[in-house]
Amino acid sequence: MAALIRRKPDSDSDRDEIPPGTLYLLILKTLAIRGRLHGYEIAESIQSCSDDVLQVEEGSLYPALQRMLIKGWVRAEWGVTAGNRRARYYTLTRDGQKQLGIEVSQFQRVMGAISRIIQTA
Amino acid sequence: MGLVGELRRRLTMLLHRARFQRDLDEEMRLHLELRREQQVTSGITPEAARQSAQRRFGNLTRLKETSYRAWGWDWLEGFVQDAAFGVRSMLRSPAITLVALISLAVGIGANTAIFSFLDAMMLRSLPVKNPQQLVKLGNEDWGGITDEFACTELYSYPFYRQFQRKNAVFSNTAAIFSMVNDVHGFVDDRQDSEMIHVQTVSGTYFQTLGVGAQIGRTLNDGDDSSEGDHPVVVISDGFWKRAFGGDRSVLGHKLKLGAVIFDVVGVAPTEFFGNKVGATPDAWAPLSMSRSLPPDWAVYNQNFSESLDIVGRLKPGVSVEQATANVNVLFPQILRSFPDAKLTQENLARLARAHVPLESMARGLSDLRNAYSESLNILMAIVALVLLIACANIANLLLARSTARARELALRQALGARRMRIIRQLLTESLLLALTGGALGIGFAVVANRLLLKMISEGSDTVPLDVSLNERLLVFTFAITVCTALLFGTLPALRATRLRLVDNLKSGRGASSAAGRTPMAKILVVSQVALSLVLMVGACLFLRTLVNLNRVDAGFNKEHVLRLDIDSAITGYKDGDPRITTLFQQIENRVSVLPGVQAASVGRHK
Repeated sequence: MAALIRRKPDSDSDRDEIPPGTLYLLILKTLAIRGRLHGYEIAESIQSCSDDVLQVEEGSLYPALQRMLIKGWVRAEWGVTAGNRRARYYTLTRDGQKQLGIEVSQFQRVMGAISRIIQTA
Repeated sequence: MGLVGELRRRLTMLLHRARFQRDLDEEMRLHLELRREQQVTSGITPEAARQSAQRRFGNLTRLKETSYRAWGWDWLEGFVQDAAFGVRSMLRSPAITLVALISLAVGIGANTAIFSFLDAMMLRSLPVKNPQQLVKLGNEDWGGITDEFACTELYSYPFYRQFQRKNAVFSNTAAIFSMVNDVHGFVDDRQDSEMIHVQTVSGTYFQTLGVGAQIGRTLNDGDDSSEGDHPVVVISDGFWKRAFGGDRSVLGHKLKLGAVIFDVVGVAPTEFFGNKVGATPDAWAPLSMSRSLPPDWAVYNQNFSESLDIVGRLKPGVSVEQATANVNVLFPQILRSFPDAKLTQENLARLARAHVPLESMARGLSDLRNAYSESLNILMAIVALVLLIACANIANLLLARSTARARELALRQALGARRMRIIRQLLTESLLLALTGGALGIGFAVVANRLLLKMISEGSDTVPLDVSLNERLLVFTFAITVCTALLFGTLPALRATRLRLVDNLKSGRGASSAAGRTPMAKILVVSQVALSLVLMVGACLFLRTLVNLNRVDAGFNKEHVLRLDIDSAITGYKDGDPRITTLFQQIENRVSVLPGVQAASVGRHK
């Protein structure tokens, strides 16, 4: 699974690491909502959507995106940003949408189990 | 999609590595820049913004490597690197490399050569349709004619006809004369005779084997319906090319075999060599012509002149057991039904004892297989030993070289190379060495095969055995090559990387030579000598046997005696014709008076 986010920068110590194994889920969901994004936008979007709670080690997005390209979950093409810069934009494929469903239900199963344990305690 | 799509994407990536890396670099650079600009707007110094952006991004080099590894080609790149390095380090010690390559070429070449014979004789299937459905009556490959009652190996033609009609388990049956007729015949009206190997078969032969003709037609049941009036032959691809230069209009050409002129009606496919491994007939003639084809076997109507192999193609769904049961019911029934069956007490007892086994014909019949299978297996074991010796030899050489390289290896480990990485590097070098040796070995095998074929062939008539390179052979060679590399590479690699770093760095080459004769090196030398001794003793015994065989006292003085074979069949005279006796008397007289000839005599052998 994706290499995840251990670092807690001194300035951002109130932010939390992403739970292991959820990076794909976050990227897929972000792309599903926002459509066509480049890497920086994905990182920003994850942070702002989580009200700045979730902190991605931003570089680790890229290996994850490469793996998703291999799997055929996302497609990449070069485009131009609002600031007139060349950037690689990612969009979800049909396989990616399917995968999102799988990841979401998997996540909910695990989270449900964990919260049941917490509540009984 | 799915896996196929994934593989396609991975391959595209491999082919466009440079563009991929440029894209990734650019994408990451953009990310860092955007983050820096965003930080600057929040009011910190450009330098602090740059540092913050980098901190948030993570280790750039490591992330690039991780991204790159995601595509799964790093092993290949590593291998290419290791191989290039291996070539350089091999060239740096050319003497060791040369010795190792020669040992490998001999070891692997010998194995490949012997295996190609094993393959051709014992493993390969007949080039016919569904060879596994074919079975032969009887489980030994006999050749000849017998009148023994209730013989379960050879059968008479009338028996074959009855059996063909009555059996319920074969979709097709064919009879094959158990010997090949070697006839000096004439092609068209050429003046010089030519040795033509003619195989007589039932008309159903080609149909049973499922073999068609590449030109014209094969034999059919009509050619075999009545004795003596179907002078037709199907010729082999080899004979077609040899005698007719591969002429497409070969049909209608003639072969004069003995006194009868045969029409060429077809050419067999290129890959079809008959049903016997190591005996490729030049032509197939119907059994109905036996009596007209030198040496004029009279087998067509004789109930008890047993000379045929019978093969059948199992009907779909019929097991060998069912077929055996059916054959053994019919066997006594048919034999008893012949009016000239001598049902004496002894013969009846023999018939009661007789059991016809069925043997798979998938790999064809072979006299060669019977004659050489044991020696081939022994030879295979011997060459395997030779390869083992070669391995021990090379392992020792590599050990010596890695001792000399101790400093280099220690340095690399000190710089942080993992032990596994260095072992991989050393094994890659071994593999490279083995592959080069393997390639040389194949060349060696091709030459050795030609020599071996000559050795088992009598005179100028080479045994027609296809020992040329094929897929199976290459797979075999590749497999033994890789095994060899592992065998001779692993120990030295493990040994070379188990280092006392400080000692090696401090004293360079010196310390290692003090520890030079390690237990492992000793074991290698001892095993090498032991194996070589076994081979030497074996080879000496073998040589002695050969020498003794040549010295066997034949009961006459062998010095200065020459032999000349004369085929009287081309005169067209029948056996017992007084003109043959006169002919040979004349030959004897004429030879006797040749200058340099002391005496001459005629003998007869068949």
